[in-house]
This record gives sequence, structure tokens and C-alpha cells, in this order.
Amino acid sequence: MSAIEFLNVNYAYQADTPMATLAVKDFSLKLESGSFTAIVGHTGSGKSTLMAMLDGLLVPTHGSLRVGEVTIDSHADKKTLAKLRKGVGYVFQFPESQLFAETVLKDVMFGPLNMGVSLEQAKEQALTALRSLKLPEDINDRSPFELSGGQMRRVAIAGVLAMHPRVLILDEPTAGLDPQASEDLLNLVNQLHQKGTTILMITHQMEQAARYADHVLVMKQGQRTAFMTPHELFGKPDLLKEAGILPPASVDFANQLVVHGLKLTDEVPLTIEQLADQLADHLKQGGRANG
Amino acid sequence: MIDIQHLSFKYPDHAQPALDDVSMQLPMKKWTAVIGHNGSGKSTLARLIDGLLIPSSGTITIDDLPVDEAHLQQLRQQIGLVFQNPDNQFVGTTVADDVAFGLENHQVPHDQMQQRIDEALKAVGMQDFADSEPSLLSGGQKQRVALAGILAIGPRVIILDEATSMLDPKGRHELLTLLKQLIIQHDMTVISITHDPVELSMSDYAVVLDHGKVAMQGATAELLKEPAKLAQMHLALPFAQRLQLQLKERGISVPTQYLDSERMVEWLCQQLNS
Repeated sequence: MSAIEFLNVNYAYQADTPMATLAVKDFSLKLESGSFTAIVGHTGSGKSTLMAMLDGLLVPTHGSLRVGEVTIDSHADKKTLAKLRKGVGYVFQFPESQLFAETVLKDVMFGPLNMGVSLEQAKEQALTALRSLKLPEDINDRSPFELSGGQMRRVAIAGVLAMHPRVLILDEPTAGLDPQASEDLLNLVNQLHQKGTTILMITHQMEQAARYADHVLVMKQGQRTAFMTPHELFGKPDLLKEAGILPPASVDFANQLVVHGLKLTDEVPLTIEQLADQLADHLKQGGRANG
Repeated sequence: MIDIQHLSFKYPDHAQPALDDVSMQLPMKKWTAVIGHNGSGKSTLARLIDGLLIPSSGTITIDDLPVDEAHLQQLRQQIGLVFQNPDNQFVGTTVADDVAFGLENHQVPHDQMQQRIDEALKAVGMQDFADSEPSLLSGGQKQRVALAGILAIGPRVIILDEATSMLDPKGRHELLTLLKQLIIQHDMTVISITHDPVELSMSDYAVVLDHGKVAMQGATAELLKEPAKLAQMHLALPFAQRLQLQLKERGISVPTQYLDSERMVEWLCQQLNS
């Protein structure tokens, strides 16, 4: 069974008023359990509204969605929404702005405690989450507000991971982080994916979508423009242009080579490593490599 | 020239100095990128040049103007600072009001204000948003309004403290292209504190800071000839330099001069098409 299913979902802000605007229109999609989906699209394309429905923060105006065995429609009650949230973790944009507790450990323990686990169990889950984010243990009793920006971000993410979500939503998790911190964070997300967590990541960085995701969902004006593998998507320049998406730098570079009359292979180089492999093969075959 | 001599700075509660005896000369009317890890001292440097922090020792002069407490008034006129988070620098209820706020602070006569606001918003391409509410703008638009607020004052030097790091690729590209234009059209001096390899590749001059010391400085094209050295310091490199390193790892020898993406394409086509 698929992990997540949207069925003819509409969402209208200020529904039943003259101001009503449809943010998501007749949206249907199935996501497999353990998949990694990158969600791309411009501001106002409906991607955050879609994710808010997955986390039970909004309920569909029409249609329904299912996460695991929990189904949500416009009549969903509080109990059902609470059940939904138990399995879904949502790392908001700039999550560090939501830290609140007096110590790092208390902040990370809040989520598990809220879900009803024992104090001891909550502490255990919090410590494991903090360790997985490679945070030094001596910060556990410090105020989260004394930490550096990158550390605050990791504490906030630990707070979500400590709840052991089966579905993890991340909204631009690397925005504002330096390159090393970004890479570390994405590697962690990838590890969670390897262990079976279903990942949905909103991103503006096509390099991230190309490197980590198995599918890319392209949103435009509340509807899906495309849902396909990075290979398919980034091999379709017309579709990208129409959706206003710049391809990853490696794809762009290969396209430039084609413009200059040099086609490497039919395989789109999704990462710089793949591009370098293709180039090295050609250069060595050409016998002109002098290294 | 921005002349920095033997500059040191230590935060009161830190054991190590944030900047330790650094000297550099940054060209006017050019774009200088200051790069380095978190904790390398680059943001501290920006705040020292702006006069927001007072050095523990050493001197900074901007052309002939010394950066010290006696000249803070003049410095405020000459230097503008754009911060990282576009949401933290708005006070006005409309875009035009926000630009006006800075002018009022600098006691610009009221009859000159409208013209200066119009010109500044036009320079950043935001004239159509003069009556918009700042909170409704995208991150990139917000940073352009922040820049307009600074341009209206008419400084010679603009310092960007990771001002593009929270923007999406499109917003970032627009802001960087705009800066390049401003340097050419208005003789501005830009100093950008950055992690962004694209920002680095657009600069004329670059300084690499590492643990409070200058690790490298020079023309950006010269620095980028040594991608391996920069990579060793875990700095993000422009795409063309990363590709050069990747090819080297695969036993391909690449030209030792600096190549941007376009020249890299040309070089590869020469190797493979002839």
C-alpha cells in the first residue's frame, strides 16, 4: 500500500467567502512508502498548503488524503488529526525560530512527551535524536538561544526526529546554512530515507532534488505540472522552461556542450560526479587526455 | 582604497581573538568577496569596517577617512550595510515609507525625499511596489528594498553580510546582477561577506579568512587558479572549479589558468571536437 495518497483534493483559503482563493486544485497523487520526493515550484504554487494538509494543519475543502491508515477529509475531527500528526514530522522553514524551552534537552523532549511517552522514554528519544545530528553533549543543559545559528537549526530538527515520524516533511531545510552544514544535514536526511522514512522536501535547489530525490513533484498554480524521476524531469528542457525551473548546474553545463556541438551520452548528468565521469570517458577515448 | 592595517578584535567572552593581526588593501569601485568558514572572522570584519565594532588594535581607513569613533557621523553617510535576514530590517508600512525612514534618520530635507526615494526604488527595479506592504514581498524583493534604503542615502561603500544566503536561486541571481550594474553605473564599492560560490565568481577581488587570519587575498581570477587549496579549506567553489577538480581526480589534466564555465565549455569542445 502506498504511504500517502491525495484524492481530488481542493483547498480554498477563506472558503465560503467572496475572497475565496483556491490554493490547491483537484490534486491527486500516490507516494510509495520509503520514497524521497522533492517538491519544487514558485512562491504561491501551493506546495506549502499541500504539506500543511499532510500534517493536519489544514483540512481539504474537498476531496481526501490518506497517510498510512488515517484518512482526512473536510469533516475530519480533532482525534483523527491528532492520529495523523503522530506519524508525520514537519520541519518548517527556519525551524530555529520555534525553539522555546529553557534547555536544549527540554526542547527536544517536548515532542515525545506531548505524544504521551514516559519521561524516561522521552529523554532517551531526545538524546538519540541529538546524537544523530552530531550535536556535542555538553550543550544539552544549555539554553538553545546561546547556540550558533547552525546548531539551533539542528536542535530544532532533533525535536522533530525525536518523535520518530514515519513521514518527514522538510521545508527548505538548508536555507541560510553554510555549505558544510548543508551537506551534513542532507546526508542525515538521506540516512533517514535509507532507513525507511518517507521524505518530502520542499526545495529551490535543483542540485538537491537531482542528488537525493527519487521523484520530483513540480507544482504550479495549485496543480501538479509534473511528477517524475529527476532523470526524466531534467532531460526535458521544454518542460523545465515552462515551469520556470533552472536545471542543476551539471545538466546546464551538459546542455551548453550540446549547443557547442558536443553530446556526451543520452544519460542526463544529474550530479557533477556523473558529468565528470562522462567527460573523463570521452577525453580518454579521444586519446587526447594527457594526464 | 580601504586600507586595513594590523587589525585585531576579541569579543569579551571569547578566549581566542575573532581577528588576529590582519592587514589587507581592498580596491574602491570594485567588488570584493570575503569568504571563510563560520567563525573565520568575516562578519566581525564587516562590522569593524562599518564602525559597528571598535577594534582591539589596528586601523581601518576608507580613502582618507579613518574608521573611528570621531568620524562615525561621516561613516554612516559613506557605508551601507545589508544584513542576512530580509525580514529583520523593515520598519515602514509601505516600501516607500521604509526607504523614507533612512532618509529621515539622515535628516534629508523633506522636499528632496520623494525624488531620492523614486530614484533609489528605480535603481533596484522596485518602483512599481512603492505602495506595497513589505511583508507581502518575496525575499529577493525585500533585499532589493533594503538596498534601495541604502542607495537613497548615497554611500560609497555597500557591505553585504550574507545578504543572498536566504534567497532562492532566482532572487539571488537578480540581486547579484543588480549589484554588478550598480558598481559600473554608480561607481560603488561592494564588499560581500559570503559562502556563495556564484557570488565569489562574480567578484573582482577576494579575501579568504581562516581562524581570524588572512589565508589568501588577491584578484578573484588568480585565487580560483588554485581550486585545490580552496577546497582544502572546505570552501564552496564555483561550478567550473569543482568540475576541474573532479576531472583531475579522474586523471585528466586541465589547463592551469582560470576558466569560468563558458571557457571550460570551449576548452572541452576543443579537446573533443577537433
